[in-house]
Amino acid sequence: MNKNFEIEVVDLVKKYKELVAVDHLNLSVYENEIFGLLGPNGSGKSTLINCILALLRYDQGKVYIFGEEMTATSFKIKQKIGYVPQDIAVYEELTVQENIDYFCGLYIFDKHQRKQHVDEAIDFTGLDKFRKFVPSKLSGGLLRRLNLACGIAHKPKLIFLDEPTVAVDPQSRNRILEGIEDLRKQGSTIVYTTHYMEEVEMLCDRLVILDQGQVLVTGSSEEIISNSSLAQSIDVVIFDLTDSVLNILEQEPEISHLTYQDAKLSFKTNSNRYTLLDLLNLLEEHNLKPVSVSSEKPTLNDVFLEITGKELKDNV
Amino acid sequence: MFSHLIRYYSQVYFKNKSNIIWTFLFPFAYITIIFFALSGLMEPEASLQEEPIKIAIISADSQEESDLIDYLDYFSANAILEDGELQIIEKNNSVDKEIYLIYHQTDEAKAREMIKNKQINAIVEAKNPITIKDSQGLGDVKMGILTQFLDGYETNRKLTISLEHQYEAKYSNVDVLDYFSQEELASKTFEEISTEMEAKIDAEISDEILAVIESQTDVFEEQADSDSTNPALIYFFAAIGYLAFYPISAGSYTVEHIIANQSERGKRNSVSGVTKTKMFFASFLPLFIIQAFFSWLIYHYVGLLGVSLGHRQVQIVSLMILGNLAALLTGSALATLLPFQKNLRTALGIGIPLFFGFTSGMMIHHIAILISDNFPILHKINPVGIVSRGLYVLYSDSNLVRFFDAIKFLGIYILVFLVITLYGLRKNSYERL
Ligand SMILES: Nc1ncnc2c1ncn2[C@@H]1O[C@H](COP(=O)(O)OP(=O)(O)OP(=O)(O)O)[C@@H](O)[C@H]1O
Ligand SMILES: [Mg+2]
Repeated sequence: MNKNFEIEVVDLVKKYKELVAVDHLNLSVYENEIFGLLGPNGSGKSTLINCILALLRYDQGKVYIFGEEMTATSFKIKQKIGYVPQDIAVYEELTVQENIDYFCGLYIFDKHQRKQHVDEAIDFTGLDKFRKFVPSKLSGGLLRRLNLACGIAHKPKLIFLDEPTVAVDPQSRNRILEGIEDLRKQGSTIVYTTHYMEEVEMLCDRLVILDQGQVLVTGSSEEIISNSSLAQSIDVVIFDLTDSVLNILEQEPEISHLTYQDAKLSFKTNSNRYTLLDLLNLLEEHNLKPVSVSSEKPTLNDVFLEITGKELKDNV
Repeated sequence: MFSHLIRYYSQVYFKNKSNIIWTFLFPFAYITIIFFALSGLMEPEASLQEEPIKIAIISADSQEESDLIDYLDYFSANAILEDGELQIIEKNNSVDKEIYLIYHQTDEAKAREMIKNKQINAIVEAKNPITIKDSQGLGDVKMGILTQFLDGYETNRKLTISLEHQYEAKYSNVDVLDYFSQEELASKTFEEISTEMEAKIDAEISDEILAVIESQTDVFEEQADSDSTNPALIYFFAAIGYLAFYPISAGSYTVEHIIANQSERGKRNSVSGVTKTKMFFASFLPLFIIQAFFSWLIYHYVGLLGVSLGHRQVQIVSLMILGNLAALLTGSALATLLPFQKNLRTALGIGIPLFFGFTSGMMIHHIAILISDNFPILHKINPVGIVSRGLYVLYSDSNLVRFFDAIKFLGIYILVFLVITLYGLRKNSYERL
C-alpha cells in the first residue's frame, strides 16, 4: 500500500461462477489525475469499478482508497466519493432538481451549501431548462446528463464515471468533457471508463487498456502509442522523384514498406525516429516539391489491434 | 439528514401512481364490493333463536355423553324424532332459558340417515376430544358458532380436570388449622370436625367451578346474540383482516431502492456514506404512518357503510395497524431474501395475503378449523386470521383477554420479520449486481 496513491488495486480477482471478469488486476491512480479505463464491451470495466467501490464481493485481492482499505462499511471514504453508474440511476418520481438535491443531500447536510452545489451541477450539465422535468420526460442524452449531475453535485474528492457520455450528442459531450476537466482543476481525482478512445486520448493523463479482465498496457496515450512497435504511414504525391532520393530512403533503417508508383510515394516509419519532418527536409535538400503530403499516426485502436488481434471499437 | 431522506422518500412513494391505486384506492374498492356482496347475505341466515342448530349426539362412551349433555343443557333442548321431525321434550326447569341448539341422542347409523333427510344439521360425537363428524345446511356463521360451543366444552373439560386435581390436592394435604381455631378443635368431636371440614372444602371448590361455568355461558350468550344480529359481520372481519395484511408489495418497495443488487438507484445509494438501516427506516416510517392513517379511514368508512365493528375504536384500529406493520415487514423481508426474483416477489405479494386469508377461513369457514386442528402453528401466527379473529373477539367478548392473546402472536410475527429485514440489510456487498 502506497500513501501517494489515491486508489490502489492489488491483485484483484472477481469471478462470476466460471467466468473470470477481473483477472489478477493491479492498478494505481494518482491524486488529481484523470485516469482512463479503456476496454471493449465485457472487458470488465464496470465490474472493476463495482469491486473498487465494494458493491461487489471479490474473490481475491485488496483495494485501498486514500491509503485505507476500502470495504462496504468504509463510510468515511464513501463520503468523499462520487459515482456515476453506467445505467441511469435516478428516481423516476422526482424532478431533475429534486433528484440532484436528494443525492447531494446524502453528502452535504447544510441546506444553503447544498442549494449552491445543486445549481452548479445543473449548470455544469446544462439542465437549467429542465429543472422541473421528471426523468421520463427527458431525452436519452439529457437523462445521461442528469445521471452525471447526480453523481458529482456534492463535489467529491474522487469520482468514478462509468461511460458517462454514451448516447450524448457531440456538443453536450464536449461540454461534459470540459466539465470533467474543470472538476479536476477543482481538485478531484477522476476514474473515467469508456470505450471511446478519442475521449481517453483527449482527456486522460493516464489510462489502462483492459481486455478480459486483464490490464494490457498502462501509461499516457502518447507513451502507449510510442512504446508500441507500431508505425506511422506516410503518403506523398510527388512527380519527379529521383532515384538517388529513393535510394537514400531505402537505406534509412527506420523505413519499411517503401513503394513509388504512379507518382505516389508510400512508406511506414516508426513514428519517433523518422518523422514526416525528416522527409520534408530531405526533399527540400534535393529541391523537390511534393504535391501533397499525408501521414497517419497509429491510434490506441491500432495498439489494441496489434496486441489482441481484435478491434477495440465495437461496431457502433 | 433523516428528515431529508423522509421528505424525498415519501415524495417518491406518493408520486407513484400505481402505489396510489394499489395502496389507497384498492382497499376502499374492496371493502365497497364486499359490502354490496354481503348485503345480500345478511338476510338468508335466520337467527339462532328462530332457528336453533339441530344436532345428533352419538357416543361410544356414556360418561362423555352425559357430561356433554350436562354442559349443553345450559342453552340447548333435548329432542326426539317424531313424524320425521325433531320435537323438543319439554322440561320443567327449562322454561325461561334461551335455546340455541337442539340435540337428539342416537347412534351413528340413524344419525347419518337423519342428516341425509336434512332432519339435523350436524353429527357430534361425544368423545375426547369432541368432534363434528358430518354437517349439512349450516352457514359459515352457524358452523362457527357450533364449533365455538364445542370448543367451550373442551375448555370446560380441561378446567374441570384441573379443578379435580386441585380438589384432590386440597384433600390430600389439608391442614385442619386452616379451617378451625384451636378452641373450636378442643370443643368438637372428631366426627363433627371431619363432616364440617368436608362441607367447607366442597363449598370452596364448587364456587370456583360455578364461576368458570358462568363465565363460559356468558360468553356464549353474547356471541350468539351478536352473530344473530348480523351474520355477515364475520365476512367483514375477514375482509378487513385481509386488507390490513395487504400492503406487502409496499413493504418490498421500502427496501428495493436502497439495495445495490435490486436497482440502479440502490447502487448509488449504497456508495453514499449513509447506512442502509437509516435509509430503510426513513423509507418505512412515512409509509407506515400513512398506512395506519388509511386503516383508520377504512374503519370509519365501514362505519359509514352502516356496518358497526363495535365500539372499541382504539383496539380495532390498533389491530389493523399491527396487521399493516406485519405486512410491510413481510414485504421488506422478502425483498432482502429474494433480491433477484422481482416477479416472484410480486406474485408472493399477492399470494401471501390470499394464502393467509384462505387458511384463516376467509372464503370457507371450515378451513380455519381444519388448519387449527392440523397446523396449529400456522393458525396461531396467521396475521390475517389474527386480525379477523381479533375483530371478532373485540366485538363479542366483554373483556380483552382473548384479544391480547391473539395479538401476542402478531407481535412475535412482526418481530421476526423485522429481524430478517434488518439482518438482510446488513449485507453490504454482493455476489453480483
Ligand atoms: N451479474 C453478472 N453475472 C454474470 N456475469 C456477469 C455479470 N455482470 C457482468 N458479467 C460478465 O462479466 C464480464 C465483464 O462485464 P462488465 O460489465 O464489467 O464489462 P464492461 O467492460 O463494463 O462492458 P461494457 O463496456 O459493455 O459496459 C462480462 O463478460 C459480463 O458478461
Ligand atoms: Mg460497463
